[in-house]
Amino acid sequence: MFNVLLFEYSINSLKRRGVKNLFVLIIFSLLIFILSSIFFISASLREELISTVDALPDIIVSKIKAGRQYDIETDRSEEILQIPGVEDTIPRVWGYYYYQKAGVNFSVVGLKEFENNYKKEFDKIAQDIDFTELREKPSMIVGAGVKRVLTANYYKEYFNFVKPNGDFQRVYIKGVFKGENEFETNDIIFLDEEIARKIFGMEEDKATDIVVKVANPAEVQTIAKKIRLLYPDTRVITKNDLKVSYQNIFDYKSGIFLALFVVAIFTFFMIVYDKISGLTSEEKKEIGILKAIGWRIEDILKEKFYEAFIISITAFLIGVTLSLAFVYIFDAPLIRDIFTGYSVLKPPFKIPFVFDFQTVALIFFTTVPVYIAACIIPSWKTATLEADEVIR
Amino acid sequence: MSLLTPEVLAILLIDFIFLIFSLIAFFLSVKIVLKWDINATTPLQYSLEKQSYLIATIIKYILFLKIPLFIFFIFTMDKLSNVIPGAMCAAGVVNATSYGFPLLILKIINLYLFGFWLILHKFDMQSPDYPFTKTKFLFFIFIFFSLSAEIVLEFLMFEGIDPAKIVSCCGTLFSAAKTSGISSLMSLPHAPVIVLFYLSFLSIAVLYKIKNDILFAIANLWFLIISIFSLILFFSTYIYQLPTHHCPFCLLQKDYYYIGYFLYFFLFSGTFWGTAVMFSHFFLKKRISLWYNFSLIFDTLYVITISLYPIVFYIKNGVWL
Amino acid sequence: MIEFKGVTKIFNQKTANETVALKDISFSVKNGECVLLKGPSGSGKSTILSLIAALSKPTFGEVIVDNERVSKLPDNFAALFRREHIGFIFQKFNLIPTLTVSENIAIPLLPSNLSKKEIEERVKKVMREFSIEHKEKMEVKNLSGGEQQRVAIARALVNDPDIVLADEPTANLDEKLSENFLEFLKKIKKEGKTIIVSTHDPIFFENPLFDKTLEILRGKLL
Repeated sequence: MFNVLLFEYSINSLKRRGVKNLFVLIIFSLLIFILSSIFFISASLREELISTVDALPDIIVSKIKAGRQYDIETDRSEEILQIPGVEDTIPRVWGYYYYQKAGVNFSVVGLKEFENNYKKEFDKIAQDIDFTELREKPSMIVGAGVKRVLTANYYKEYFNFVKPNGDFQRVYIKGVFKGENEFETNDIIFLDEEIARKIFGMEEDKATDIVVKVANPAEVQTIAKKIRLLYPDTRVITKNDLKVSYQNIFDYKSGIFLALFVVAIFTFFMIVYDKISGLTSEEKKEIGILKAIGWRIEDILKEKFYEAFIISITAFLIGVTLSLAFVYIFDAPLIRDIFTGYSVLKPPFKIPFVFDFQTVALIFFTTVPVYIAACIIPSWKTATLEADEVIR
Repeated sequence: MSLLTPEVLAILLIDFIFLIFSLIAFFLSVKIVLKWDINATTPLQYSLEKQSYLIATIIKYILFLKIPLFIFFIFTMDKLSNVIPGAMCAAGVVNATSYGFPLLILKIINLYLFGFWLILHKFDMQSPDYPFTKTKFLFFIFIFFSLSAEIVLEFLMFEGIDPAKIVSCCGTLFSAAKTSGISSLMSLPHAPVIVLFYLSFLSIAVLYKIKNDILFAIANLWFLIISIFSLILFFSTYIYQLPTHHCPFCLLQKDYYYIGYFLYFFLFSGTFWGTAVMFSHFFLKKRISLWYNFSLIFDTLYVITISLYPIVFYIKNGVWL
Repeated sequence: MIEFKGVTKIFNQKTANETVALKDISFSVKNGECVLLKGPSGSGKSTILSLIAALSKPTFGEVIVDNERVSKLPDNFAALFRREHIGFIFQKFNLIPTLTVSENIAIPLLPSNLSKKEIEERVKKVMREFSIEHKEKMEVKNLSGGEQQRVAIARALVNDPDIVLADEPTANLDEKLSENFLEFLKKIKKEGKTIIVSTHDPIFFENPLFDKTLEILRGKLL
């Protein structure tokens, strides 16, 4: 069924009408390049974020009043600890501090000295800090992005937080922190929990939220339900909820692009249809000659299909390869900000390499079949030209 | 639609292309069925002959795309199980709506139908008086409705999946505990089903020798049904090595070395060629032994592969599940 | 044997450009005969050749070649018939200018299921026969008129047809090349091929090579 000779003829035929085919090839490759880049980036970031989510707490409990988050009573954590299956509960003090002059948000995380913090990494940081020193002379450890912003605003040794009541809270910069996951820790400020409370104007017996550790992952849903029953005024989010919502965000953003892309691809369809339909008289004559010397309509159709196949697969390979280089070697400038946000504090991180066969299949199905579909009717029209008239 | 993942969009995009092109083919087919006259030397007849090439090209395009697309569809269903609560594999997603299961069956049927059409087309083109043209385009008109039904079902299914609603996972779907159609089948005793399975294969082997076209085709159809049935009821438990795991989708996953793809490929290929034999009987009035061979080879491969699982298990463990 | 039975060919039927190219033509040609189709331009000679090659279909009547009703063959069978039985030498050669000599000659054989090697052999054989092997890799557009003619002939013969049709073969050639063409005809006649040459070049008239002459004027056989 596959005829090598016809295939060679197709390659030759494409070369002979080089300009027209090159034009189509370049546009198609470009379209595939853009689409692949979007998909590769989103697949990688999703992997990265999902692995991040794994490190997140099993359950986060926050108090909701009138649809907004409020400080939660710390003694609730004692009650939650009583629920069977709960390994540990940790009230957290953290939040966002908006530094108006620079127009950026810092994430402020309060660390405890003796009790465990919800993240092992934070525990490590906590160990390295001398808390007594931190309390006497309030100090903080900041992420690289924070340091950059503060220095740019002439805060070299300390920073003055503005408390809710208008007073200042001076906190000295003890050191710069570089975490495993740059993406996460770039805009973080670590300081003692009490100082954090002061900055946010939070009372002693309150916390931002309560983190729950569950021994058996299969029981998370049940325990979450129990907590909801126990405290109807809370929002209880499980790790799985986070995973699902991340996946949905990525799918949503990718979905938007795909929708836009679909528009682009239909335009492309029209262009291809038009280009391939327009035969010069020389091309028509050639078809006439072929038929006159014994090529059947099927043979011409087969040859035209080989041409369509060669162009689309070549464009596909070029587009995907260039995209792989663009995303994973050059870190996809411009496009990746769409996914990660435009915050000034986002660090220059490297996109992790994730090569997923399904992503490639996805790119394939949204591009190649469309091109070949665009070629069906024009190829048929060509193949059914009357040889007799053409060669007189 | 809250479930507009890129994969779903890609599938719907191609569905749209299929719909448009098959509509074109449909209208042309109707024209041909009404006006075709191979003996006429009118310009109308000549243009109909040309148009029949267009229809054939469109159908080939659809079929050859449908096959990888079907695999992609299964992949997508599997992936969707990550966002739909309760679903651990494609089975949960398929059963999230009432459309899922009929859609799956229809997809498989349509693959067969398109395959049969191509066979009919090949026969038609073999003699200068194109003896089966009207028949084949009448057949396509039927296929068009089946394809449209599939596309509508697909759209409805994706539209209807609610990621907030919890679905059952295959464990509960395929257990005898619940009260559903599948469950009542699950509580049938294994032994008779297994016997029926091997008997049906035996009948295929015997009919292969005798070369009775109609019976061979029917035997293959029955074999298809009893295979899927015995796979779910009995053989799958040996693939998973768990007496309660019956799911026909989980065996497509990496954990089981993607064995599902091989099994289904053998099964569908074998039964396709087996039923195609009927076509050569009615239309060509002759026998194509090559198809008999294909059918027997693939059917045998299926039986051997699937039987290996319980046998190896027994050898290793000394007991049945 | 080639038979025309009451063949009428009308172009652009029922339009303003309606032309009757052939009117009720009937004749027959025996296998191995060499026939001269004589008549002024526009008389319908090319149409007759087209009909023999199943390149077009008559409006009325039948064309029968070797007991095959060629006029009734649908496209794929007609093309197959041409590929297997007909060698057509066109007036304007109709070579593909941007392809090489060997590529042009090979074209009729490409869709058949012959192996690459077999096709190469046949092409070489026929190139040798017509002495253009030395220009094998040259693009046809760079050849002289005579060389192009040889390529056109080679292409027509590469599939070893039993019927050779030549449409005004000497219209674009000088005297010497025209004589070469007659030599070529002599050669293939010896091989037993049925030959039909349509021309209004007088060097063919009264030539003993031709067993029969068919004269045609304004679509009617005289």
